[in-house]
Amino acid sequence: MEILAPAGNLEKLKMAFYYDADAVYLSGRRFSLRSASSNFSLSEMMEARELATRLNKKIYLTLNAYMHDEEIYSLPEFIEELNLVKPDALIVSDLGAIARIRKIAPQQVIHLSTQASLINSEGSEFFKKLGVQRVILGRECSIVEASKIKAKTGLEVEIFIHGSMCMSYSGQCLLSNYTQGRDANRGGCAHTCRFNFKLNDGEKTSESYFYSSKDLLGIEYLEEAYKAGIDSLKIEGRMKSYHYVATCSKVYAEAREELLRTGHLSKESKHYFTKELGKISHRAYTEGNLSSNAGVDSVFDERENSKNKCNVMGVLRSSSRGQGIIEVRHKLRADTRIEFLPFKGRPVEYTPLFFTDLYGNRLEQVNPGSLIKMDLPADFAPYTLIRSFV
Amino acid sequence: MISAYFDARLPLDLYSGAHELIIRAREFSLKGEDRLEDLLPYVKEIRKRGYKVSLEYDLIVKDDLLIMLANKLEPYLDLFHSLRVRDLGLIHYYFERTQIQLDLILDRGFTNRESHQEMKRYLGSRLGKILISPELPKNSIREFTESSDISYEILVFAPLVISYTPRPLLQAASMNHKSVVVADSLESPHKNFLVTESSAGTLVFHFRQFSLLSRFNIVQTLNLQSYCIDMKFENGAVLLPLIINYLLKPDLALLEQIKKASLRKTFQGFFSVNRTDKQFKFLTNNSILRSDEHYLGEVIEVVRDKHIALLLTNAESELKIGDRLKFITPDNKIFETVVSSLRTPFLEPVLQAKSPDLVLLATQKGVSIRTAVYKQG
Repeated sequence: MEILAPAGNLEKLKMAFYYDADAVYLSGRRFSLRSASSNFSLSEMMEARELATRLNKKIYLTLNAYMHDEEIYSLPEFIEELNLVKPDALIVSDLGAIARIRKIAPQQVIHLSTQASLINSEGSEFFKKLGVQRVILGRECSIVEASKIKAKTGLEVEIFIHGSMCMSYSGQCLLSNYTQGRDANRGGCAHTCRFNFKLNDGEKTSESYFYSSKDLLGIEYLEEAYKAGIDSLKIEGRMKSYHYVATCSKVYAEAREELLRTGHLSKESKHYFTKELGKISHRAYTEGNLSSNAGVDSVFDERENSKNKCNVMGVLRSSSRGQGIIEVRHKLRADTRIEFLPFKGRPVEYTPLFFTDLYGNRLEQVNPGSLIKMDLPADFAPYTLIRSFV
Repeated sequence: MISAYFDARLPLDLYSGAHELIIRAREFSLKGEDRLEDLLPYVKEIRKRGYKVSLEYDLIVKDDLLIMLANKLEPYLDLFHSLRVRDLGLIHYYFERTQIQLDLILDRGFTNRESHQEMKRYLGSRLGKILISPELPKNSIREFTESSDISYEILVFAPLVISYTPRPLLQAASMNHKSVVVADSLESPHKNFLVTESSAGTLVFHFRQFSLLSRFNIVQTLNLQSYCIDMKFENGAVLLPLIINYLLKPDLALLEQIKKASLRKTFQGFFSVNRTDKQFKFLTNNSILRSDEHYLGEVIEVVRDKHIALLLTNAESELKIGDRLKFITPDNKIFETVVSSLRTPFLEPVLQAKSPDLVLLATQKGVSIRTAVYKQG
């Protein structure tokens, strides 16, 4: 069972891999659904490929925009460039794009994007005939339903296990198109669904964020997914932070490891993993449709705001003789409790007595955009994240 | 050909002039209100009068529901000359197991000709027509129709569903889920979205009625085979015969009558032009996007009169004293320099560095953090 993490840029890809995701999905600078993300240039994709091969990981490239004719015509040129990258799969939603890729790169593995709103085995059969090897099912499918689709079709199945959820069937929403003039199915979603609305049913009125969904949390269902033979568990969020990518990759990979080792996930572990996932920025969590249809309690009827329990205080960039150089991402005062998030194992709490700039001058406080030097509580590799608490 | 959605509350005579009536039962259709069984007597009458009758089945369905509804529909399938379907699973199911004609609702995505040709290749003669996406502007529609033998239908007067979720959101908001709820955005100028809930889930409709009637002179030139009208949320008793007559014989006076009788304001969507991809370039800061040629890394600290800290991130990058560098700041200012010294963050001098090293360079005026650094030449 693969843990598949989002990679909005090369740094996030490294975080995902170092924190033990098996694969990442990423975008080039065209044809994807995350136009506001920096995404990957060709050389970055090649670098991602090289790193993935070295670490025995996989990269899946998203081409999941719904394409207009002009984009379909420029697709072959892009696919040709990808010969240099050799992605392990392309994630595609558009039927025309699938047909075109089949013609020009018949050996290329194709995964059907969740944007195709696929939630049944008949549709899976349809795409199997078109040469799709894996279906990324709509978030509306339960684990049991996904398992049945796999059994009926023989296709690999991928489901979402964590992250933000569209309220609409993915690929069916035009709210952003018709209100903000930004095509959600071509990368410009403006998240109109998260707005506050005044509702009037003729008898009463109320204000509600009625079209906003809580975030998916699937740790409770990991064991069920594993036993159901789900091939890949996807973490949503190419626009999310380093902290999010690292924490989710680490938590789900470690939970999967425990499952493989012991055959189940203990209550204590579930509690620990859930607590860890509570440290990243998120809306209230829901189990979505993983077990049964999402109901009235899956609505996030609140204003969007970030109530972080933790911030990323910094990233370890270099270490030597027990001292580390940390790139500061969030304001820090001396004598503050921080937490190192190693690539493997539990977080290591630490309260540095002091820290200095690179020239050895002691600092009482440091702001983002600075480098500091401090004693390390243990050996950590570059790219280790350090958290501070709110 | 004129295709009209059938409403059992309106006299059948009002549909005179239409060629096809579309039945929407609440078990099968997002916008359906009546049960299929209750509509069957009308279906028989409609057939008697010589109309084609199509059943709309535009839900997105899971396996269990697909089978349940297939069983329910099976005894009546012969009453319909076509099924109007959206879900590709349903298209596959009814193509593989029945002989019924399939009309495709391709109003989400399917904005390229290749996708339509793929459906034609699969369905062959069983493909009746394609309801073309209202996201396509007229020039694209013309290209589609001129280069293909597929029959196309276009919405000319209908409420547009702009979002569809299986979740019961009106119940969640403690609204009367059996009524049409009006939603006004409190964070943008958009008012009067209509929201309905049924066993299929919750639908959000555009706050205006989609109408191409005032552009019908252009619509007529697009080589489309079918014009579709839907009176939901509208004054069908008055509008239906007016609109059918207008489509049969466009006339400005008739158009004025239609406008006066309409309950809702209208809009033309993207019929003239679709620029919904044009804002994307503003969503990213291109100055800090890495270009491929000679990229080294990013500045992560600047200490005045002391150093610039450069994180070498490009796996191919190698830096040595004497190299010429180009800095591109986040606000797109460009500076150039020659590397005169290199130190580790522990202040040890080095002659060269490579990814993933962090190195300190001599300061350069104007350079800030997040500046991208490139090697020259």
